[in-house]
Amino acid sequence: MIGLLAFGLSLIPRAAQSNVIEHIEPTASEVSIQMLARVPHLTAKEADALDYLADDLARSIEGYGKIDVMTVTNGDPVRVVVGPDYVRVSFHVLPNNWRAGLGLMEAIARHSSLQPSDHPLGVSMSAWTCALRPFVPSHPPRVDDTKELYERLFRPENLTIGVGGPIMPGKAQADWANRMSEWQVPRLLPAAKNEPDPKWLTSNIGGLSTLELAGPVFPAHDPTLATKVLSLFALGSGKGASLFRIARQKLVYSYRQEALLYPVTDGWQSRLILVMKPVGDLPAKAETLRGALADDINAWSDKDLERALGMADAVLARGVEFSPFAFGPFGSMESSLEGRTFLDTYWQLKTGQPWDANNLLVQMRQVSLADLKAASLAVVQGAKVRILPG
Amino acid sequence: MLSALAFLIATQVPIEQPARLRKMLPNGALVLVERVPHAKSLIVDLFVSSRGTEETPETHGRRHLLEHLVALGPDGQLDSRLESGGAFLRARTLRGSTAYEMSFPPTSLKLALAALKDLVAAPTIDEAGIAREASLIDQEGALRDMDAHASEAAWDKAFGPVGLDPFGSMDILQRTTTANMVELRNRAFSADNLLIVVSGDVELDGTINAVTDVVGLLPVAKPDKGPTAAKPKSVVVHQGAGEYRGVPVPGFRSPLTAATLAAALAVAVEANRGTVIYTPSARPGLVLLGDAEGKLDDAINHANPATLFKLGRVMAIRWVQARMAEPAEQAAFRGMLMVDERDLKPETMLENLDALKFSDFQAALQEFKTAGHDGGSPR
Repeated sequence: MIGLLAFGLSLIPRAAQSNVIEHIEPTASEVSIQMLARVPHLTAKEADALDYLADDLARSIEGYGKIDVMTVTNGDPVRVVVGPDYVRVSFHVLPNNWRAGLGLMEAIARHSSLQPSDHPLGVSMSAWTCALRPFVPSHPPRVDDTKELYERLFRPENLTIGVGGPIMPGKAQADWANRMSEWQVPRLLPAAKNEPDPKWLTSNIGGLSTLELAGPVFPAHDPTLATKVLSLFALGSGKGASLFRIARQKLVYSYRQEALLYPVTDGWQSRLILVMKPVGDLPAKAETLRGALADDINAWSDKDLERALGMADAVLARGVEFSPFAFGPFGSMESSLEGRTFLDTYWQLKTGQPWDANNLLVQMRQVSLADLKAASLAVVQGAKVRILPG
Repeated sequence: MLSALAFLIATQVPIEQPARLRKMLPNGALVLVERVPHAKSLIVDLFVSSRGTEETPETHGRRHLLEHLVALGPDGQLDSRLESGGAFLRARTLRGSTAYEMSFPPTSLKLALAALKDLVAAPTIDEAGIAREASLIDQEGALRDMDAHASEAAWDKAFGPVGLDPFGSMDILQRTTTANMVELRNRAFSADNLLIVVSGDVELDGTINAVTDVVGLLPVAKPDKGPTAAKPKSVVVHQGAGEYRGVPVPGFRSPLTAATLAAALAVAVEANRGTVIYTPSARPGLVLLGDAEGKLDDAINHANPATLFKLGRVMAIRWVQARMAEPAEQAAFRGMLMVDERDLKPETMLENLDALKFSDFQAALQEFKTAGHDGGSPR
């Protein structure tokens, strides 16, 4: 008994050190397993390699044929996506198969053959994706560049694992810590110097125009985060939000318009984005929108505050769609086990703190109408205009 | 006293309510209530069948336009009311039905019933509203991706005018009048076209009665016989470098549909950038298999059929189960089947997949292999 207890205790410090976030949902029928590799600021060459790395990562894994992978995941294809500041690998497994799932994830992190596709990636991007990541798309990298980036990103200290579903607390943490303890990684080569940064797009290659009011950047630990997030709910979440009423229903500029909390290297940025048919004087439209939004904000009443709180509650407490959190590769979060597990995992990766929806909601309920207006005006009036004509 | 209390507790055995209850109202409207203990949200979905209002070249897109107008509520303020109460509405138009899907806080049945009442009430329809929403649909159309365009082209090729995409034609929408829309709305919202699905931590009988109070007296419109489809054929369409093969299926209830979906899902994994599009419906439809690299032949011919069979069945089961993992998705899934056929349910496909034979799977695989050759084989 004493021996067992000592063994159990000896695992705790290792588990506490591991970057494994456990999201427990006892009634879920599957377990979501995810791996996030943090992506630092990239040079143009590294940025080129990143999309190809994501495309090649799960195509061929040493020790796993396609059927082996599908056997582990019960038929759920492995997804690899590039987010604003991470690469995410995700799949589901049946609850009794979580250990095999972590084994597959370890193999992807350590033993991908990075087999390139016979057909290189096209440059087809949606207009929305172009607006979110407005950089000139990748050119085919050298195989060595992709391999070098793989080794730079996929190393134990750079990975955060998310495991969500009907799991026993601590088990996944201990299992992953054990796997990582046996992984000896080579020393990192020094970062390249004098390499150019990725080039910004000058037009939207998705075929449509995008118009953006890009608000100021603020730190991940900003003490007024609750006010700033509530302002995004007021501006952009739902059909009673200012953007929907002004940009869509009144000005008839766009069908899709969102106010987003977007991750950047230095923290977060509030971004108001519209995607529209490429017609008209876009800079003039941007200023008309800015003015109309400012007028609308100045006219907000307690009803608008109440609506924003209602939407925040629906999204954060109940997982309704239309979250302003643009942490996923294509925009807002999913209302699924995978989405919830990702949010827990990403928040920890980004802020170093556990995701706590209730605490954020409590703080939002303290926000006054005057503070909400001031925060929203700061976004709209302080925003830089970014236009990508289609 | 204590022993008496203990006896009382022991004899008060809770009567288990069924998890789900369905009721057909005298006017033909159907109500399904599902009890989900401790549900985080109350889901109330309204489905309006397209029976009698199917797309024709002359009306193409008016159902979509109607969806936009109805979702605003009679006073245009429905969204604001919902969102202030922590609720949300989203609407979508499919070939078989239009869905108005709403999510509420778990104890907001009163707000939900008020919103349902707004949706089934006569909307405000005027020329200005039609013009505004038509412009927005034009903007919406610009956002449609390669898969959506491929699907539209494949349906057109396989089914002809009967397969018109519900998104619509801007030409038609720009020529649409208030009278057109009022007439369409009255036919579409015939009580026997309506299905209401409620899912949440609710009491079944009481909820059915409350919904009955809202929709039980709605009128029934004179039925209009829908168009008859010619026998569809399997087709191939191209979008950029991508290739899509569409195989017609009889409907969600058929084992043939299960086999075709399983085959498509398995091949999509073999393809490097594979995709499968299928909208569950009791009506004849299309399972569309695409590959952005245009190399479907490689994926179909090089894989071992026995391996694909195992893979496809597991993936198709997961495809069904994934749509039932969250209460909101499950309510929408059940609704879109039940509005077509009143006893159709997701479990039907699971049963078909359980009984799936290798020979049926191989036949479905063959359909994808030969799709588009000599005009495809009628199914």
